[in-house]
Amino acid sequence: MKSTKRPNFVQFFIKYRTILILIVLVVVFTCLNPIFLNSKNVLNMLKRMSYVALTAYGITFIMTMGELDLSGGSMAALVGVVLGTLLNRKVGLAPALLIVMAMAVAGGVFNALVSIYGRINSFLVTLATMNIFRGIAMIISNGRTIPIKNSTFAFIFGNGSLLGIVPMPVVIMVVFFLISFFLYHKTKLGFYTKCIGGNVEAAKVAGVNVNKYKIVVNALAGFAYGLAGLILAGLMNGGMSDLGETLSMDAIAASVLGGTAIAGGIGSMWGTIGGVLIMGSLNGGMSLLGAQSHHQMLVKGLVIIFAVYLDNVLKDRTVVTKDH
Amino acid sequence: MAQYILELKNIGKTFSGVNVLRGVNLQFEKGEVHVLLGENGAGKSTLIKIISGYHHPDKGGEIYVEGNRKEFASPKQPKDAGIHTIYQELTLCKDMTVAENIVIDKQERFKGFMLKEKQFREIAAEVLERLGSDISPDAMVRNLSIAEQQIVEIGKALSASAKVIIMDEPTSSISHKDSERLLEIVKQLRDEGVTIIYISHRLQEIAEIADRITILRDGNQIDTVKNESVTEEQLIAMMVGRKIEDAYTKAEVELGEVVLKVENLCSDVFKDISFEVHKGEIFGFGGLVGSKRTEVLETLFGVRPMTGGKIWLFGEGYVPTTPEQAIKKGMAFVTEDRKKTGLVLCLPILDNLSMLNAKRHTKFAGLLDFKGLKRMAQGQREALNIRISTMNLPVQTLSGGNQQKVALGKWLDIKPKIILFDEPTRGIDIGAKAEIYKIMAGLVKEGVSIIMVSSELAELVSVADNILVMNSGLMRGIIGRDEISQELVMSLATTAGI
Repeated sequence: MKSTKRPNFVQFFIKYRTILILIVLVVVFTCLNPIFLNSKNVLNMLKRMSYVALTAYGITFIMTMGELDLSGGSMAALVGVVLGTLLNRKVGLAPALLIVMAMAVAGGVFNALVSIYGRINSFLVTLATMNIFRGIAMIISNGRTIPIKNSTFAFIFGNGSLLGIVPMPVVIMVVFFLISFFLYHKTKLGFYTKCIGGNVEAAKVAGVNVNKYKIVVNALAGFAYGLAGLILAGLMNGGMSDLGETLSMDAIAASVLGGTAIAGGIGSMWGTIGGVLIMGSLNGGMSLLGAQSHHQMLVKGLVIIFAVYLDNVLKDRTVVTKDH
Repeated sequence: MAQYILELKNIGKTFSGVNVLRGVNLQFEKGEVHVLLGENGAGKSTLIKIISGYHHPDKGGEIYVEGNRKEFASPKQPKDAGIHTIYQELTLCKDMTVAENIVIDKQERFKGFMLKEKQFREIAAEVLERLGSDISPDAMVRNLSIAEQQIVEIGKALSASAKVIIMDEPTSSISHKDSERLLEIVKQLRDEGVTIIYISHRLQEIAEIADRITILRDGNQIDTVKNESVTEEQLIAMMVGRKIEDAYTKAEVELGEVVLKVENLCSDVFKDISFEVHKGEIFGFGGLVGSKRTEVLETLFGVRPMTGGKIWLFGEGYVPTTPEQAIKKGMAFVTEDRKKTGLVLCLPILDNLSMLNAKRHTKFAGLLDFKGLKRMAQGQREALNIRISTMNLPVQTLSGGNQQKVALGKWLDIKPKIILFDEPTRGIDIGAKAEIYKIMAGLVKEGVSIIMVSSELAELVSVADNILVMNSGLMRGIIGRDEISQELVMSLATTAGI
């Protein structure tokens, strides 16, 4: 076992790699098209990544615990569809919001319970619930868009803006970033989440109720997906069963870009928001340059491989180490 | 009446019908270093797992802490009673800081919702200072050496005001210098009134720190003695015992020419290993677990890079590069952990036996010749007496002995000339052991050479022609057939070299 001391600049690069990649992207895109850094464009880009950010907050908790969750995007779609249906049936906005958020949390708890008591890997459980949630959304909506005409809702989750400048989805993204940051880095919940993901046996020996934390973290993630679903519905002016199909994958990618270990135990909220911003500026920058969405997907894929590879090389963490 | 800090009464343990521990009665005094000594499989690990709440003792076994009867249903309860265990596989969260790891099991520090990071650091700094360690509370555990991680584990126990600390072979994977520091800490803790239950094979360090020593053998408590009243030889004799060795079959084979010659072989974890293996020989590797014997086999087979030395195989120079090359040269490697590296547990016996032979049994265009494979597998099954009803059962349904035969059998069809056999009889019953020895005897009679690593002294001594004994990655000597004895192997394996 050796503990090698790396030179300072390397350590600096490792620590701030997410932000450095982000800066490089911003500089490149601005050079190619100065409109990129225009405040309107920036706010617009932020708005379009706000729901990815919320999903990524939840996913970061889940992955730090050493689990995976594919069902977020489906839950987001279901939330929009159910909310639209409720509002159309003359349910008030506040009770309708309460109902759909409770549903989102319950969805997370359901994932956790099936995983714990069915002793099924969370990847498989959520692969199933990903289909179940979206299936329910399709049945309810019959595949059609359910328009939401409530103006208060449209303001809070869609096209409203704070002081006429900052779009509301961006405000929500920032507020919940602060809350997630606090939970993840400053509370017992975040502490034990990291511990469970890092070494579940150690957590058990330390007397941590692992199942309880699994349920709580999945409930939190469900809440995050619910918010993402509300923003999606707000931006689209309605619920649709096919919204957010790539949402979970984008959020996982963003979180991994930000340094969350897929095996658990490592992560940070700064990293995650950095990862979201990287993905967002790639999309935004490339559309400014006139690239089509399939080119964007290609580049997104390459960036993910590059970032994760960089992560492995820099941190010197071999994926499989032989223990003797 | 003296009140003991920890008292075990009539502790026994049976795993699926096998009695691994019988009627252990032990009293631990406050502030003593009590060593548990015994061979691999003597029951030490089982005993500490019972004390630390991982296993339940069989009916009739009782545990008393400071005179009070305790039932340990989970690993948490012994901790609450002040008994902490430091396992060989350390239970730290590697991606958290030292301070965080030290407080992790202190639920009372987590009252409320917020973390009290400042407090954590203070607790950690205090306990690290008490241990005279310069580890920073903010250091990431991942970046610490094994020895430093052990200190963190000790700190974790101390900050919970542990009364008893159990250490399972703490010095087995750290350097000599670090061991000395650790022993200093053990002495310091003893003087502060902490009871240390210390498991080790290293007789020198036992002589240095032990107050009392309990010797276990085959699950029996042989004796508990005061350190100053025994000699090393007596301890070894009690550990090894006198066994009737009926199960062993020693093939009487005239050794042929040298087939493998190794000179000053080095890798990252061992160095300067030299030996010769003859045609028809069973060459044994003795030593304690962790003395890097397996690693020598891995290097010969091209799994672990060789960093120095020379090898001659059948008179020709040989530099191992890949297992594929080693197999082509006529070597086979039956690994120690058949569940991980020997077999594909979920696949049937036929597939496992075919694993190496698929290439040889192909028809045109690379299609597999299933009939040929089946014939081959059937042949191995009969030759090795693998007892199964059908070849289509997954190997995980077989007994350990039959699994081991499959793990060996998959190599035999390619007619290896040298078989590297790592722990040939680990985890299998006596009957199956005897059969494995017979198979080995049969193989050497046909002119195959076997290099065997074994931690079972009796087996090593009874089966091998020559034995190379290792200690901490170094060669401690080769014992020839006429002078082989368990005591000699044990004393070479347990005393540190210069």
